[in-house]
Amino acid sequence: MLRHVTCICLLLLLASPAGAVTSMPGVLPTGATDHKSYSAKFAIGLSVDGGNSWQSSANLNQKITIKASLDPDPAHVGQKGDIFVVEWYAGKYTQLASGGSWQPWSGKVAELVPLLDDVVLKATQEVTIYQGSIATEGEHRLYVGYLPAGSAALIYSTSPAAFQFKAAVADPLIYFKTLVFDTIVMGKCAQCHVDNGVAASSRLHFINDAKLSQQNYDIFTAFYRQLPDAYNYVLAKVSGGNGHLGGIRLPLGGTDYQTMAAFLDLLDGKATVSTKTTQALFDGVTGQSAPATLRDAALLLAGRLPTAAEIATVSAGGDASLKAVLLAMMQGPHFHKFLKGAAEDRLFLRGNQDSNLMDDCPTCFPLLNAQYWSLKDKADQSSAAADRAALNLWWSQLNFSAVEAPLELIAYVVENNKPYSEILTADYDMLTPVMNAVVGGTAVFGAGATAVDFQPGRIRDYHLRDSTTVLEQVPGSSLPRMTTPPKLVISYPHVGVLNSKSLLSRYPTTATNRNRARARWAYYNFLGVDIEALSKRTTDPVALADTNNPTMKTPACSVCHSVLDPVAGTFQDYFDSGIYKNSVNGSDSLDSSYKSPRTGVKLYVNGDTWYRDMRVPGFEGTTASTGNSLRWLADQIVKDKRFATATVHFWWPAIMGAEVLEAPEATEDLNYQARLSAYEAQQGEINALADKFVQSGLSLKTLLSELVLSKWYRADQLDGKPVSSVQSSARVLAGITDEKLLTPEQLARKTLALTGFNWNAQTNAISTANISGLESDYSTFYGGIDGFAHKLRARTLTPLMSTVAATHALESACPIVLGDFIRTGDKRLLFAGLSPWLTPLTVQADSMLVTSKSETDFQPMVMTASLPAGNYQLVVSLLNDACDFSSSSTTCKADKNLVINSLSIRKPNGQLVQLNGTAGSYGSCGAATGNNRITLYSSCTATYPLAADVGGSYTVTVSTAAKQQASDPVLAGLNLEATGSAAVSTTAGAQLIKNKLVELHSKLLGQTLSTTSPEVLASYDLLVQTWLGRKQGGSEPSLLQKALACDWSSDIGFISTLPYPGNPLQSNGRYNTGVVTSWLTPQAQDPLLMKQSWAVVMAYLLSHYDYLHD
Amino acid sequence: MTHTSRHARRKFLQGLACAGAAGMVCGVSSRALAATTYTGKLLVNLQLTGAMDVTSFTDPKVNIAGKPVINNWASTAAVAKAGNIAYAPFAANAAFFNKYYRDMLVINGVDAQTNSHTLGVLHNWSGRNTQGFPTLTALFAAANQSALPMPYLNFGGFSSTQDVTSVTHMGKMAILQNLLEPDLAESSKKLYLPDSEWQRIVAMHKAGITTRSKVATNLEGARQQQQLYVDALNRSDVISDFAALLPATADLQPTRKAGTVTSSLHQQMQVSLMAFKAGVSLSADVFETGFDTHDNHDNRLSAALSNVTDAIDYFWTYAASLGIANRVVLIVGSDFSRTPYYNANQGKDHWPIGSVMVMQQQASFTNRVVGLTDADHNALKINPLTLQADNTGGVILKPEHVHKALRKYLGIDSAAATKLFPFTTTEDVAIFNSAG
Repeated sequence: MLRHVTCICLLLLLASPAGAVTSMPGVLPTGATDHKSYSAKFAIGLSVDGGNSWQSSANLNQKITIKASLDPDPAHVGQKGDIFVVEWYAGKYTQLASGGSWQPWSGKVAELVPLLDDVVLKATQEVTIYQGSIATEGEHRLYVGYLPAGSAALIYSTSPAAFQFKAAVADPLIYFKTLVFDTIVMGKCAQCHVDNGVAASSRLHFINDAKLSQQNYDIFTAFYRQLPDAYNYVLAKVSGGNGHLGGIRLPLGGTDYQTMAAFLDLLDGKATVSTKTTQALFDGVTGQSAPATLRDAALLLAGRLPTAAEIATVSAGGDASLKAVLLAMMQGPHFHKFLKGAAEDRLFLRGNQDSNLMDDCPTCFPLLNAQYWSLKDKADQSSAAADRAALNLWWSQLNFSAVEAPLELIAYVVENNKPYSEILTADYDMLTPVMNAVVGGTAVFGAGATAVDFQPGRIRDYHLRDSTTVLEQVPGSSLPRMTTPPKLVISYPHVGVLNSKSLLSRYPTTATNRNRARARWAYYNFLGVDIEALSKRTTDPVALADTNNPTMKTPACSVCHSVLDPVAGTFQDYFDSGIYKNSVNGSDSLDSSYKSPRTGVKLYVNGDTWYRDMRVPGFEGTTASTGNSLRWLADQIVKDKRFATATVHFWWPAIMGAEVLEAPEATEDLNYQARLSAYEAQQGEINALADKFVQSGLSLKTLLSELVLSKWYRADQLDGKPVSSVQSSARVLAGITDEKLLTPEQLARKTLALTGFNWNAQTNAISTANISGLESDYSTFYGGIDGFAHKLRARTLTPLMSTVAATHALESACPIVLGDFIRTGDKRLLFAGLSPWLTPLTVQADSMLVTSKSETDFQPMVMTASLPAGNYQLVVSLLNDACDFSSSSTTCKADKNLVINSLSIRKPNGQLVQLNGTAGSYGSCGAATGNNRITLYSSCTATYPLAADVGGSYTVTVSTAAKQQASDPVLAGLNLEATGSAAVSTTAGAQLIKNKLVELHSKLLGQTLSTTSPEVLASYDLLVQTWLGRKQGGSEPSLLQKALACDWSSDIGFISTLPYPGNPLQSNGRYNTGVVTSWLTPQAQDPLLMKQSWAVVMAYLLSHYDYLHD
Repeated sequence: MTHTSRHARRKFLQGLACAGAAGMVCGVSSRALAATTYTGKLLVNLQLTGAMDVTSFTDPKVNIAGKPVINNWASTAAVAKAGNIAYAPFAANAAFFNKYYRDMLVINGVDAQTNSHTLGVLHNWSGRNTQGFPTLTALFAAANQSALPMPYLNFGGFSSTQDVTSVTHMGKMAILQNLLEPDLAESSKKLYLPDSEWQRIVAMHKAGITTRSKVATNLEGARQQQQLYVDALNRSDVISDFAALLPATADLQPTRKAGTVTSSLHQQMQVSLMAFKAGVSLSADVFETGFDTHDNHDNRLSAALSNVTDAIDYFWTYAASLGIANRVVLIVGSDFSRTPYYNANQGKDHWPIGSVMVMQQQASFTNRVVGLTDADHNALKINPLTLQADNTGGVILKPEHVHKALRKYLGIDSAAATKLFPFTTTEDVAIFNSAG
């Protein structure tokens, strides 16, 4: 729409009378780019109390809301239009784009981007411009406007709304009310510091009433005034020091801690308080270009390089278009893997040591029981290995289905653009066909679904144990035989991942643990609260050794348990390994030792569903509603503002390649200031991202794109300005680098995407996926996690990890080169357009299929070349030698040979020079076969001199014949080469090779180079030196050499990426290596030794620093 | 070193290793010796994850009339003693203590100050209950031979290094051999390319980083990554020496079933010792699970503990066969301990007072017990110098005391790396002073 608008600067101030449009103050003058008069009205207001009142200034730390109100001209109401917001600050204009990002604006109307695109204009249109705290001091001016559909006139506020942001406030009471009371006092302190609270023995008792801010202010100031060294005392306490039984309430250096410190400054009479921004960490750091970010993100999120169209879009549109391209590439199998892998890094579900989750409950699933016994009876009766294998595979597939389901659910929610809260609130699970069949599932699968493809569905055939259930125990069986199933059938009450079998089993409960581990991890992963860190310094041995229900009665324990235990209670319906309502008739999941104690007082009362010696199920002061308490908890969590920051925490490592920092706790620690600085900055970024996540409607794709767009991800270079050592250290501690070590999974995906080779891949018998060695056996050695023994990724290279990288490069290089030269045309991934018969000395090269009927059926191979005067050589080669050995391995049943009869060279002056076939030099692979001919018996060359005594056109004709028993014809090569130094060669071959190297450096390493760049010249030199060395050393002319290894079979899917005729895999899932090698052999021939030289270059590139880091 | 000489050396080393003659140069790589002249102590830390009940091990408690049963074994047996070490006659303890009492120091009454696994692990293995300190094993590696290719091995569990050294996470042992010789095909043992060509590639990588590191605009984090990349290349060459000594897959210690746990502890110990022997490593965390016995405590602990004592026996036997037993220090500990009473499911819950065992052959500090607990398994204050009960001027032993004493005993307390993580307010306790 904007392209029709004349370029006009919005700074033209038009005076017009203002009218009231909303309750907001400061109605702004209206103007239009067509200079006509419209009766549209605009207002922009700032509020610190959620819109109850409006003001023109605020403090930097205050949470503010800025809203605009538009009353379009009545003629435009009901039409579609675009809405724009522009900010002026410190002499620069920015504009608010859709999704909430602020982008530079040139001042030209034509370059405005809308905040809202094509919305139906209502009589009054309210737009939220900003929510959160402002980090930049001074005056911010805001304009708003709209463009009706089909109109060229932008109608806008010609004067801005101006808001002042000050660094501090001087009134401690205002500060307390606006910043301290709700978040800190009510949120962090009043839980314990109240009459009869856990901290009742302390000297500070608040009133736990959110309406009494003034009274609580008075209470605190009275307490504060009577303390010696009050400032330090309070800050030490709130950060967990000074024997604070409540542990860490305000992590040292965190936002809340800083707010508290500022408040205490004001109480101490300081006129101003300092504010900190996250900017300092990035002072002097420049960011990546949009295309560079695109490359990194494409490999990370989509497991591929960006397409030409994506690159073009981003190159033209810059950051403004980057987000849209990123969002669009968040799909497909690699994105699916990315999502599941990132979630697993936090949930550790695959680390479950229970290898069969589905045999935990013998009564829950009669269909499962029946299927088990059907398979088992068959296996027992037949004693056939296949039947036993079928039983084992079925169990494995069921277990796989259960373990992976929560990860699949998260991926499903994200991929289908559902609100991320659905990972906790979904009333369905992810089921595979094999699972669906035994749980009465409602999932629907397509015709081609495998046994372990996932679809959403509900479990409808969950049985609760009752008195009629009859089970027959059978020794040696995984499940008892169910002869009479329970009659109580329910639909399982799905609560997202929270009550998935996988999560409940990974974090099992016991009679005494009572779901606390489940509650702890729910808090940690979905609210970002580490319960165990709340009271790290609780050291009272008496309390810890207390046996009289300390979690309820001992303050040192209550501080955590008062928070933890109610949430544990909300998991009340789930027994040890996750069985729902385990008791007879499904009354509850209480432990039998509690319900019927052998000693002591019986607390249980009929109908109870939770322990009476624990806190009632609930969440932070609110008791859970009756019924499905876990569902209630899920609703509480997703409504909690911490859910958004926890989500940023959850996904941060997957994008940033670094863990989220913990607040430093001891000022005497090494690099404390740097740690604090890094932590503060990171928390600021996390909060900002969380705000955007909320504004997006909890779109995880949006959050992922914002993480990529963040300067934390895109930090690229230093600009050369001096930086402090604290700044430098902080950046290192925060993991800020443009050169992040790829995880094993990322490296595997990169190699597969770029080269088609899946190193050391084997087919997973359960999932049927081809899993790279980097994702299985080699993962831990390369810094991966297993969810059990190793839960933290290694982010930097160690010597042993470097051997993994070396092994990966060395084992992959040869098959990659072999395969890619077999591919033809645009099917090639790396060597498109390059002949493997080009050498660094090649002036001109050609090849020809020789279709002779007999070894004297000579056919001419003609090449004309324009040559400067000089010495050259003609290299005639047999390019596709093959020998189908007989059983004796000494003679060929079918063979290909090339007979060279003669060469004739016509010079520019017409003179014809004749050479016999025997005039050339050739190795032991050729032999004179009479009549001055030679025959090349194997992968071989014969070299003839060509002296160009004058410059001009030379025509070479080689008379050849094929001698063959194989079905396909002989391929003969003719290479016209210079005779100088290959290292400094300037021939066409050298140039084409260098061009290819530039391309490979770009594709594999992300480097933008030219043929004269030192990096390319180094690679070229490696190629040349390898080639010369192998020529001198008499290297065998095939990639499938006797001496050296080329482990093409280490990727179970490798051959299927090539034009292999038929199925290369046998029924046992393995290659018939003999048959496949026979097919590969002629295509692996390397008479000019260039393929193997490229393989060495490939090993170099695959082990390059830039290949291993992105 | 050329491919030919390297592989010839491997063959030579393999021959020596096969001879298995302790006291000879069996298996000691000439290259490794060239890389390090380190002949000092070797440290292994056994992390028993899940909180092991020490009242059935090194701090035996009997039942008290009128109070809940502490240990079922105590209803039919008394506390046993081997040398000066009292132990619980439980599981396979008797054989273990009778064989090794001369080689062990038991530190009882160590207060982890928490009942939380996460904090217990953090406190016991870093010496502090807040984040920020490395493991003792990491410090030990850093203080001695951080330049070794794999100075600090970790088979699982807590492994914070705080960047004082690099930690090598160990995975599936069966493929380790392939990694140690990256240029050799796993099955055919053919080279992928001549060694000279691989060395040229490595040299190019190093030269590339050298050039790049001169660019002033590199981010600090990028510089660190570049440096570690080159450092890894420089140190990885010697790793192949380990390949010469690493047992064939078939000769690796098998996993064992210890109750419900599948244990690889023997194998972890075997590989650790072999890495020490090869001169590529000097410090290792080995770990074992199965001790979170909230139910069926006696049966589960018996299985797990028997496997652990068997593994420790194997450890010392194997170390002796390699000729390095006199250099090895083995530390055994857990998150904390378990209640001195059973819950309704015959399990035991979390209890903050635990024990640490330090083992070394022919050491001056062994055949001793340090630290006191009462009959209810509460920690008692001891005098830091005399180690006797001292309720007025004494201290409750905490992990920081153990770490401080171990740092001193191991000779790393004044190392630069150690000084970065001081216990400034921690009392010195004469744990290793046999006169105490």
